[in-house]
Amino acid sequence: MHEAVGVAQAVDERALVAAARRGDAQAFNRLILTYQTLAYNVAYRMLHDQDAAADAAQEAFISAFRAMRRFRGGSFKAWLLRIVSNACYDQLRVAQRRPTSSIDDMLVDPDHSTVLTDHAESPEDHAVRQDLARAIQTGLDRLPPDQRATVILADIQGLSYEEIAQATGVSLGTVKSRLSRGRARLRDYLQREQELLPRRYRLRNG
Amino acid sequence: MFDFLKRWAKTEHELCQGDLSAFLDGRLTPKEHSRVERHLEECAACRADLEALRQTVALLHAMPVMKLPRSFLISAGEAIRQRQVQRRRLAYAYLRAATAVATVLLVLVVSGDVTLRYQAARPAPRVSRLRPAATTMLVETAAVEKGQEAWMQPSPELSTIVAPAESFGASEAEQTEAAQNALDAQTSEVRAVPSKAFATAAGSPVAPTAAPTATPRPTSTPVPPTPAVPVPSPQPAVGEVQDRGQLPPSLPSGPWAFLDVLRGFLPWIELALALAVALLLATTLWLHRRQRLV
Repeated sequence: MHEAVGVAQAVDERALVAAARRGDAQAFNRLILTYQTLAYNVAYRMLHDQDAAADAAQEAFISAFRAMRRFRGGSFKAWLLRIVSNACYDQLRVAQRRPTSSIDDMLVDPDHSTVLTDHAESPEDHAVRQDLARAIQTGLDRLPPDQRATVILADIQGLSYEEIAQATGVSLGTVKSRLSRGRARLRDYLQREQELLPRRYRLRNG
Repeated sequence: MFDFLKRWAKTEHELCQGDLSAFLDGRLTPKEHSRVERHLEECAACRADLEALRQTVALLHAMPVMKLPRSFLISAGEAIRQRQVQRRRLAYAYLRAATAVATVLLVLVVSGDVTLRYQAARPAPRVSRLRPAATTMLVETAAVEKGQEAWMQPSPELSTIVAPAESFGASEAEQTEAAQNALDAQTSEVRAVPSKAFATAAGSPVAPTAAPTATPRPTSTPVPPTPAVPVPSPQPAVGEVQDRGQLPPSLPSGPWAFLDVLRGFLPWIELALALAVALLLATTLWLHRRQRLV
């Protein structure tokens, strides 16, 4: 990316964080504008449910706003993502107590209707990408939450190991092993369920 | 620490499997990296696994970004509400801390007071508790001075008991009485005071106007049996409490003076603490219920 833009953003963010810490809701809203897509997407990939993900993201932003005073420097993004993933764990606990709603999710899969952002592709490509995303999301759903969160942050959102360690509150070594296990498990799942993947995306063995 | 041993016990193949993910990300040490590379050259299974892993990561990278179903911006009203919630929680936390501190302090002071009184009460004479009505006429300032020695001899007579009221002896007598009622701060306060108060209230019988907070409560702690000391009715004591402020300042000198002054104020400190605890506890409980309702 353009380095100058990145630096300007970082300075801007620090000022916004400082203002938000003083209780400036406008400044905090500008931070939300920057991070709401990230927060919602992490939550959606964690929960595979639009409503639950929206609830988790909203709850995360509100509790982050309340907790701003406790933010002690470092990466705001990682700090925020930690609150988001905690909100996701809360939602998962709620979902565990009400396991009936999963049937609705299977009937109406929101992943693949009109919510995808990219509309510049042909209908066939779109359909293929839908199938692909659905298969991968199903694989993600089968990972234990800790591994799922690590894989999402690393490979979907592109965070560094250090950022993930901060965002999940564990050591670098734990990040490494969770990522290794999560990726391997997902790979094995996708290899087992080859027919779920569109032909051109099937994993080639050797 | 045991990682090292675990790694040691693994075969080269198992080691490589565990390192493939970090190998992809270039997060291995140079030594580990070349070791994996070496193994990959001779192990087709690991090469296949690495390739499949690379594709998996690529597929994850290509996952579509989901559009927001709505904005998560915080409205001005919501922000104010959240700040209020935050402030209320902070105040509540402080209140709870204050309540805890006050309660601990009260327990410490009362138990310390009780301990002191028990210790002081041991050599003290067995004195029958006097009815305040009978004592009011008897006290002179001179008697207060004499009391220094007088309290040493146990005497059932009124003058010897009442006279030392302000001196050290009086507090001994007072402590004997108080020991019965101990532990409950308010009760001990009410009962402990009279013997001193009687000394000063000479000639001016005070109407027992009940102070609002000094109403004796039933003590929940077991009262040590002291058959020699008939328990009086605390009723008249209630009024006497108020007179205590006018005590003549005749304090014993020496290293114990400070302690005695402190001891004189102890019932008041206890009363104030007990009131503070009651108030704080009531407020905390009230807020707790309200917060749950909101």
